[in-house]
Formats: sequence, C-alpha cells, structure tokens
Amino acid sequence: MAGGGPSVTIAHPTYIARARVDGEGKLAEAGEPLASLQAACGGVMGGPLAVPELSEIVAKALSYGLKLSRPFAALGEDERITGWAEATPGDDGGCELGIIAWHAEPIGPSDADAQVARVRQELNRALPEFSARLDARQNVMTSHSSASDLAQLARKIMQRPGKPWTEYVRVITSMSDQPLHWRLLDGASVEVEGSARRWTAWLEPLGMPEPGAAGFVLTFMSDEVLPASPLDEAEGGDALPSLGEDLAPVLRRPINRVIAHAETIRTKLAGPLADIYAGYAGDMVDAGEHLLALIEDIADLEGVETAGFKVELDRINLGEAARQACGILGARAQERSIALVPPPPGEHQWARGEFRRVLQILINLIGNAIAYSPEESQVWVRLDREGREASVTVADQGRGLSEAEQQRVFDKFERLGRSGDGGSGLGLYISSRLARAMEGTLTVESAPGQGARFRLILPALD
Amino acid sequence: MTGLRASIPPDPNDHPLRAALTRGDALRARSVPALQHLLAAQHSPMISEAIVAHVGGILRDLAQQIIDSRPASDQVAGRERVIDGLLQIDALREHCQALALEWRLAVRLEAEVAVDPVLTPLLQALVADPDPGVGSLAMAALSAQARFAQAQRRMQLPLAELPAELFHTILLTVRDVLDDAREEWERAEVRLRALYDEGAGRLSLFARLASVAKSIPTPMPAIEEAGVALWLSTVAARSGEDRDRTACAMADPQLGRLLLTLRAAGVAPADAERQALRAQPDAILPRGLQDVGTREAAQWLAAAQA
Repeated sequence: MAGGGPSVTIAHPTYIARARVDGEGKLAEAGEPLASLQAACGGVMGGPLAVPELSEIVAKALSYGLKLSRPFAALGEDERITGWAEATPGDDGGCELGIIAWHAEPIGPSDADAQVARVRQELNRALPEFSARLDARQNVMTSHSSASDLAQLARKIMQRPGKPWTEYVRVITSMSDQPLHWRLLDGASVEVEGSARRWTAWLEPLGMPEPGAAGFVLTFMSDEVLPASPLDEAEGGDALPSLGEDLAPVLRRPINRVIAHAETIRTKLAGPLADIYAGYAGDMVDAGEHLLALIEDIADLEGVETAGFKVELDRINLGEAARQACGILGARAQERSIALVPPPPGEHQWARGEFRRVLQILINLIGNAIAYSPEESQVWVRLDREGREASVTVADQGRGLSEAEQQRVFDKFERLGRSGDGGSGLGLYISSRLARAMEGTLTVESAPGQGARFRLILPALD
Repeated sequence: MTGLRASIPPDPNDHPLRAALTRGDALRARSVPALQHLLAAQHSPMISEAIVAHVGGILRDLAQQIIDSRPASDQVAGRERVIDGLLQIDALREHCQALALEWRLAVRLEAEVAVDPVLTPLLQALVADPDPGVGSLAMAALSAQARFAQAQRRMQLPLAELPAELFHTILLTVRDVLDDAREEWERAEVRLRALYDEGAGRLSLFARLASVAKSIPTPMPAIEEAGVALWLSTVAARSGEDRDRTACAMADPQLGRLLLTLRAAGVAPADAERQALRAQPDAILPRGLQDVGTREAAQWLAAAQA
C-alpha cells in the first residue's frame, strides 16, 4: 500500500454548516446553527471560537497541519449538541471548519445533576418546614411544622392522628396503587391544603436490616419561600426593620436565586468546559448556602431575644427527639464516616419542653459534634434522669474544649478561633437561650483531647 | 605479541577483554528475563508470537512507506533507522497491537461462526439505510474495511490510516532520525501532511457510523451481526472508552475490562457476559458483574486509567 493513496469512494460529505477560523483562532465567518452555538457559548462573530471542543479540534489541526475529522459535544442555550466536525488547515494560517453531523437534544437532568440536587436536598433536611416521624407502615406518629401555611395540616393530623401520611396531603403521582412503597414516594410532589406552595416529600427510612423497619422520618421541603403576610407587616408598626422578621424573607429569595443559578452554571460546565469554572460555581453555591444559614440563625436569634418569645411546653419524649435528630443528620455523619449512635428504639425519657425546639437544639449539638469530630470517630446521644432532671447528652471524640473555651462556648458569635467552615457562632447561643426558655439548661463538660459532652437538661416528667 | 601487549592500558580494569566480558554478560543478563517473558507469553493471546510478528510487520511497512515517500537516497540505512525510531513510540506499538488483535479476532469469527470480516449483516443493512447519509457513510466504511482486511493479511498499514496524533508523532520522530537528510525529508513531510485526511480513514468512518446511525441496535448489537470493526467502534462510542484499549481487552483472558466497558456502555450484565464469551468462548468470567451499575463501571474504568 506504500505510496498508493487510499481509493476513497466517499462522496465529499455535505456540510451542515461551514465556518472559517483565522490564524488567531477567531471565528471569521460561520453559518447556522454554528453561529447560534457560538453565541450560546458566550462568543461573538469575529471573536475567539467559543465552543470548547471545536476550538480544541481547530487548534490541533493547525498545530499538526493535518485535516482532522472528529466528534464534538457542546452545550447550547437549552440543548445538548453532539456532532462531527472536519477541520482543514489553510495556507493563510487559518482553518476551514465543516460540520457534517449535528444532533441536538433538550437538556434533561442527567444522573449527575440528579445526584447534585439530591445532595443539596439532604443538606436541607436539617431545615425542613414540616417533619414527621412515621411508623413502619407510614402512619404518622408525631409531626411538627414551622410554617404558618401548614397550620391547617397540623390541625388535621391532630384531629385524626395515626393515619398514613398520604391521607393528610395530596401526593402528585401517576400511580394509583395505595399504599405505595416508600421509595416511590420519596421525592414525590405534594399539595397541602391551605398552602399555595408546592412541596416535595422526602422519606428517610430508619431501622435495619430492612430500611423502614423502624419507621421513617418524613420531611416536606418547598423551593418557594412563604411570602410575609401583609398582616404581619402591619403589626411591625414603626419599629426599626428587624432582620429576622422583615429582611430574612426578602434576602432569602435572591440568595436562593444565586444558589440556583450557580448550581446551574456548575452543572452546565461539568461537561465540556474546564473543571476550574465548575469549582468557582461550587464555591458560589457554598457561599450562598452559608449566607442563607447565617440569615436563618440571625432570624432565630432575634426570635429568642425578643421579650415576647414564648415556648409551648408539652409532655415530650426526649428519646424520640434524639432518634429523630439522629435520623435527620445520619447522612451527614455517614459522609464523614462518623458512627452516630442514637438511644436504642424503645428507650424513653419524658420531659417538659417544646418538641421542635428540643429537636432544633439536638440538631445543633449533633451537627457540631459531626462537624468537629475526626473522621471514623463516634458520636453518642444518650438519655439520662437524675431526680427531677431529665437530660440528653451528645458526646463526641473531638479535640475537646479547655476550661476557658467552655466559659465562652455559649457566647453570642463565639467561634472558638474557627473560621471559614460555614458556622455563624450563633448555634450554641441560640440553643442555650432556647433551653432556658423551656426552664432548662445547656451545659458542657470537656477536657482537651477528651472530647466534649453537651447536655440538655429539662424538667423531668413521669 | 609484544606489540599487541604494548597497546593494552596499564590498568587491568580497562582491559578490552574485560570490557567485552562485561558487555557479553550484560547482554545475557538482559536476555534471560526477556526469554522468560517470551516463553511465558507464548500462550498469552495479547503477545503471542503471531501478534509480535504481525506488529513487527506493520512497523516495517510503515517505515517503508516513509522511505518511499522521499526521493531516493540511502534507502537501506535510512530504513533501519526509521524502524528503530518507530519502535520507540509506545503509542504506535499499542495501536498496531490493537489492530492486529482486532484482525485476528475477525479472522477467528469468520472461521468459527462464518462472519465475513468485511461485509457483515449489520453493515449490509446500514448500506441500505433509508437515510442516504448513513447509506453512503456505511458504503465508505465498507470499502475502508475491505482495504484494511487486504492490508492486514499482508501485515501492512497505510500511513494515512493512522489517527492524527500518531501520524504527527511519527513525522516528528522521523525528522529527528533522518537529520542528515533533513531538507529532503521536510519536503516529503509537507506532501504527506497535505494528503492526510483523517475523515477518510477507516477508524474515523466507523466512529462516525457508530455515532450517527440510529438503526444500530441499542445498547449494543451482537458482535456476529456487527462484525468486530463496527462492534468495537460502537462500544467505544457508547462507553466513552478508547477503541484500542477495548480491542486489547478482548484478548485479556480475564475479560474484566471488556465486561466493565460493556456495562459502562449500558449493556445488561447477562448480555455483556454473553458478548464477552463470543470474544473468548472458553474464558472463565470473573463473578459479580450483576452487582455493578453502569455509572460504577464507568467510574472504575476511569479510576483504572488514572
């Protein structure tokens, strides 16, 4: 075969689009749909070729001085494009580009996108507006909600307790067989009577060996923020705007949008563009989520610091709260390979307090323990009773706190020298204020190198 | 005798016989593991004697084409230097080995299940595809495959059939090797580059066919329907794995990489095992493929290459 060129019989491929790239890598001319793709990738006519994989093919053809024929992929405005391009280097240092195959499909959520979304939802589970503990047959055992438009749902559950949760809300599903397997309901869209918002239900199975054997934690999340009602605003009178009540809802919306857009950029660039940009977008998401968490903390802070702050004291089961908190943070613990040990199912300790506030405190304590413990360590949550005092203890194997640090740890904005980890320094302060509001206390015992034991003490009930 | 003795250096360490002794021993020392390797590989399908001979033949043919491409000068000495230069290129040896393995598998399938190495049922169907673009592409791929079959039987490979990266690397290597006839070679190089058209090459045609022909069954056509060439290109297009790596994986007695590549291309575990056994009917497959998801398979393959 030496010397004899291949006897190519293929008719010259018909070009769907042609373009010319000059010697400086700038797109001198381009036909449709290439011109639109150039625009969608942020480029202009006469500017550098902005479609990353095409620009790579052109660069290679120019550097080798060879005619190349290769597949490429790109992301358009709202479609994913795959095609085949030919690049022929010219005598003038430029390059002719011919597109011989072009296939566009709408961008659907890929596996990776879905996974990112799911991870984000997992993180958000710590801040649900509605959560309930279900038994193994998905009947509601306890529930609590923190949003005013869910009050009707809470009443409905109180009036007729013990039913499957799907009877209190409308699950948007194409399947009619009831009851559905929990996996089919996890992530389902839900409509709640009295709420204009669309909710997503998440089910976290508890128990071994069969997930769900010990019941579920059900949470409702909504992407929309409850608009502040005009009535609430009127009540504010002429007092200074409060960050918690007035500004938080206003701030949440744009920050949520920033997070959502950064997430979009991140996933869009995960394909053909450089990872470094995806990394920047990831940083934006992290920063946005940090800001959001900070706003939630400050809103909480204002709540507990107002004179009229009241808790609704009730007979509550600390064991239940502890197990529920562990359930919510189980995924986060797993991510850091930390063994989270809740009180065994069936162990009870009754106390006087407000369930959701106790849950909030425990989530804060356990969340800290997970965040500041070494990987592969353990975090225990234990119940106890001494005389008239019932307690929940969260013990970790972290680096522990010195005497001086223990003095300061419950102070407002105290970070104990940590920075850059997304904390606001408000969590423990809020928790200790909440404990006091429930006529209890929050204490810490620790020694450097010995881990820390945070204990929530409430009045015991039989 | 005395005259000879006078030319010997005073230091006994520099004695020419000692130097020859050292060189001879070093050669023997290197040959022992090489021999062991060759003997052990006798039964390895990846570097059987037939494959070694085939790769050697292709490399010689490539060198001959390079020599022939320039006006006659010192042909013989040049040829040996070019062969030596080409032998040093890892990626080229790997590519030639993959082609040799692909070809031998095609020959075996012809003998065992009567699949023509050129005209396979699927390729025939694609030539008659209602989409005229696919039809003419399939026709071009078919004639490229016919040329390939003919060339492989003679252990040859046209330079123009090489992927652009390898083509470029070879030209650069030859530039270094033939630096005594640099100007002459540079003129030849310009001509070779101008004639090169990656899109007319067999690998490019099959890759395009695999990516545009909607009538190729998903997730994967049977190898005896598609033929080895189109099948490998389809696996590469759908799994994102390198075609040469996959071709070599078909000769791996464990077939682990092939199974994972098929899984990454979306082939169901049982089907992947069936297809893999077609490549090596008496292989003992590793267990556990049914527990491996497509994403997991792709991740493992990516991690193995890292």
